[in-house]
Amino acid sequence: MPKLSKRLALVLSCLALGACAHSPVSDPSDPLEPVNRVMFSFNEKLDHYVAKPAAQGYNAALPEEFRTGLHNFFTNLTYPTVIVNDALQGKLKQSGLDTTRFLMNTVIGLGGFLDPATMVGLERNDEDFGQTLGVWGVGQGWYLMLPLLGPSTNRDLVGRVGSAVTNPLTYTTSEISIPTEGVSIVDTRAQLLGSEGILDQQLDRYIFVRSAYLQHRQSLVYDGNPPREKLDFGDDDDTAPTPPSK
Amino acid sequence: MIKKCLMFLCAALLAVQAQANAPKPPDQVIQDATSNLQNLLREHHDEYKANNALFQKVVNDAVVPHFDLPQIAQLVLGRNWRNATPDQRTRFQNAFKNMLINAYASALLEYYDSVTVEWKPLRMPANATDVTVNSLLKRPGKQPVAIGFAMSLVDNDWKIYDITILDVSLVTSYRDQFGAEIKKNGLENTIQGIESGKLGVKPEVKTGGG
Repeated sequence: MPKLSKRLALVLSCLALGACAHSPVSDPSDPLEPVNRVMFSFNEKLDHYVAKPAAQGYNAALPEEFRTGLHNFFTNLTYPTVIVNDALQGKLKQSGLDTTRFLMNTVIGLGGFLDPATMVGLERNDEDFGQTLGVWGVGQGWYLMLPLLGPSTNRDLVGRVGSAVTNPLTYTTSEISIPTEGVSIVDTRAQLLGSEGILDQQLDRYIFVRSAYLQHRQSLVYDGNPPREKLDFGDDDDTAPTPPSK
Repeated sequence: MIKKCLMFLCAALLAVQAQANAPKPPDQVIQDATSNLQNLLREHHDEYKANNALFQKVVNDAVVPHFDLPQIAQLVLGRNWRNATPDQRTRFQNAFKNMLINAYASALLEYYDSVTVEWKPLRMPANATDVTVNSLLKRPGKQPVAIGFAMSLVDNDWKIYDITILDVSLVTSYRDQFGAEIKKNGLENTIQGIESGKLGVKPEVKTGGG
């Protein structure tokens, strides 16, 4: 319990930090760029020597059906985060459907390895605390490149803490949570194998990743329909669009 | 029954007549352009592979006319557009176009036959001048990729002004990258950099010797 209240204090202080930093997607606030770039090249090296080979080995060692099962399992494991954030964003019906989805996959789908919910038309949703803060009108704040964890923003960093609260692994012993997280990371990386080519097509990989990450998060906040950016040809400063009310 | 069919036929013909002056619908424009290019590639693949200049010309003729280049150049330059001279605007537009053709043409030669595109039904309000045509690019053994073509009506033709891949816009991500480059080295140096190929992207697939 004291662990939780400590977390809450961290959440609140970070919230304050995130809330004062509004900036439009088109011109992100990146005051830490020099540090971020160092982190970025560290992460790229780490990926090249550790994460990518691990993902390739994982793909080679396990049959596809089993990998799909594991991927489903990890998705289902963190699904309470989606349910809670549906509700926090006022999407009560979606929260109910996602609860059904979670229960169905956990019970009938053998702990989440199978995905019967999708077969009966309960589609998977993607919600987290970072998105909820965005819906509530909290600005994204600074762009951050976290060591090991990759791109983030003040807002999404706060969101990570929130998501840890709703992650069942937080409440297990480290003997269970660390290996599980480890496999989960390898699974995430394996999903991205073969997409690296796009990075080579860029003038500046760091800026491309920043741009793509911020666009992707913005799109998630608006559930796939972000407002068309106001065109800015240098006449005036555009401001971040206000999130939808529902 | 036959009478009913005839009436329906007449009505359909009339409708076609009425639409003769209407632009070709945006989704049709893209689908036709895509299948046209795929057919060309199927027929002349080896020729194109051997003759890069010829293939660049084919892409220029078959693909480029469906893009609204002036609009794209303006969107990519963003706030730098206003300070650019008319000459710089045109040069940027051409250099950027060539950069993209260089980057993607080789991938086109490599993957044209292994990908299939599933087109999503287009929901377009009457009198719309701006739509997004959504599609799903499928490659064997890989997750399908959602691709959106943002199009607007230019002189009674639907033209593409942005492509969105998994909700990341090409225009926006290039604007951010060029924006940083221009901030660092100035507009003129940036344009010269793209023109000379010093500033650019590696082709996704390395073309072999010939």
